[in-house]
Amino acid sequence: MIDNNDAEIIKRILSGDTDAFEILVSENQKRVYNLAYRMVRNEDDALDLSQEAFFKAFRSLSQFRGDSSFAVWMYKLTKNVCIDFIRKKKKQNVISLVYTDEDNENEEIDIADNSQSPEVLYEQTEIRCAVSQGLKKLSEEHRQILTLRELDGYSYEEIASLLSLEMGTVKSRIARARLALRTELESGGNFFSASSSNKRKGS
Amino acid sequence: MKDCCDNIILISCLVDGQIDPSDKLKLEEHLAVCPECRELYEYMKDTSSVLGSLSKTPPQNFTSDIMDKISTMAVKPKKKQIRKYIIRYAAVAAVIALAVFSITKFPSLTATKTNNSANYTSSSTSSESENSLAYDSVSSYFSGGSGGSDISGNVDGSYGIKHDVANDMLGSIQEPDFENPDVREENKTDSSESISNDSPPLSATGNSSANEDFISSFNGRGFCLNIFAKGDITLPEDAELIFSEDEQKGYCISISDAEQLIQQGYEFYSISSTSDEVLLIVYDN
Repeated sequence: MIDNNDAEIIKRILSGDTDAFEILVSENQKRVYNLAYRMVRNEDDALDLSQEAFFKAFRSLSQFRGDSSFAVWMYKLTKNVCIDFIRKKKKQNVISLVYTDEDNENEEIDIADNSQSPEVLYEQTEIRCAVSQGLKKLSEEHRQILTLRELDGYSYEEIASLLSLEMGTVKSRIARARLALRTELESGGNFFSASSSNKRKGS
Repeated sequence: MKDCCDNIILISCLVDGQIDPSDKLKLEEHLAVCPECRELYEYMKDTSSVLGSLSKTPPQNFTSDIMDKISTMAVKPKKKQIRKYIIRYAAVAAVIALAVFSITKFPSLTATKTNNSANYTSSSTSSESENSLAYDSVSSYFSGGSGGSDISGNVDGSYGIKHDVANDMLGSIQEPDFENPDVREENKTDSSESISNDSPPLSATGNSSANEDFISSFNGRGFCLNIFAKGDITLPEDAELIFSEDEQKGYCISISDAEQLIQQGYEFYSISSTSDEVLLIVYDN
């Protein structure tokens, strides 16, 4: 169901206070941009498409009926915008639809964090790389739900709505996906899981 | 307690802060005494924050860029913006010129329209408010909700061609927007491409024999009409459902099918969009 705050903001926008749309954009920009990026695997296109999605949301806001949260509506809208784009591109054989794109293996770890020492930074990068790789090895079902929950930060309710699942299924699937990721990390023998368990054994 | 399904789910819920207070209390008591579950909790918490950091951050000016564009109502990003303005104002100028032209040269035309609207109101059992409802909703598709009240004046026969047509065209130059996630738009012609067509914009309302003249003017010019019909209409065979709301459905139909419907006496409204297709709105009785 729609959040009361969102409902209020949308009401304001529809009555002419277009500046209020900024709140919805800043609340949702990251997940919209990331969804677009995951679908098209290209930053420039992701930027264009996520902006386009917001324009479309703005123009069709009067059709938003509030039977889901704005974030869920925005997710579906962005997905449609991206699918249209992909469909057009696909005809030109330009894009790969596969999420585990080998060319982009290290795509997720390029975010620099200047506040840390090089050693810490290196370790963090390694950890993120390991987790990112582990995520890619999960089943589609597990990867999808972890992405929605962990990367995009959708609530359990929103995930239930997006995937048409019961709340109980959402909870158990998220838990199982986390276990599956742990198994992946451990089977990879990577230093993230090793250091974690060592740390705990030592403490 | 190891491998206990209930605990695994509860631990996962605790990481996400989506756990009942009573369950939380019990679980925390358990975590204090069970190293396996505590380790699992810490693993889940750690990976959760790592996973969260994997998401990309949009450019810093992402929101402000969108708001800038929205505030100027330039709904098409980047390159086409300036061109679109030129086209928009050129189109408005053309509409006004046409309106002035029609009023001075064909004063009977405006009179006919008023009569038509009056005929429609009296011959139809539907109320004006029903029409207004349908029309407002449609106008929101084409103009993002703005301008609906200006245009809805057309419905009741108080038809001011100069003012209303200009408004119609302003609405129509924006892309038709069926981007409601539940509603997919398949044909997306680029409005700024086809509006640059040299033909003067036209607008019409009514359902008498004058319709035929209007229709022949529309043919081949890439214009789109909106047709309103009651639920008992026989739909053209290849009508494509493009949206469905509580009280109305929108179909995309070909201009030739539209022509037939109009000849059967269905009400149609001003130009919107720029494709060769016609939006048919069917609303419940």
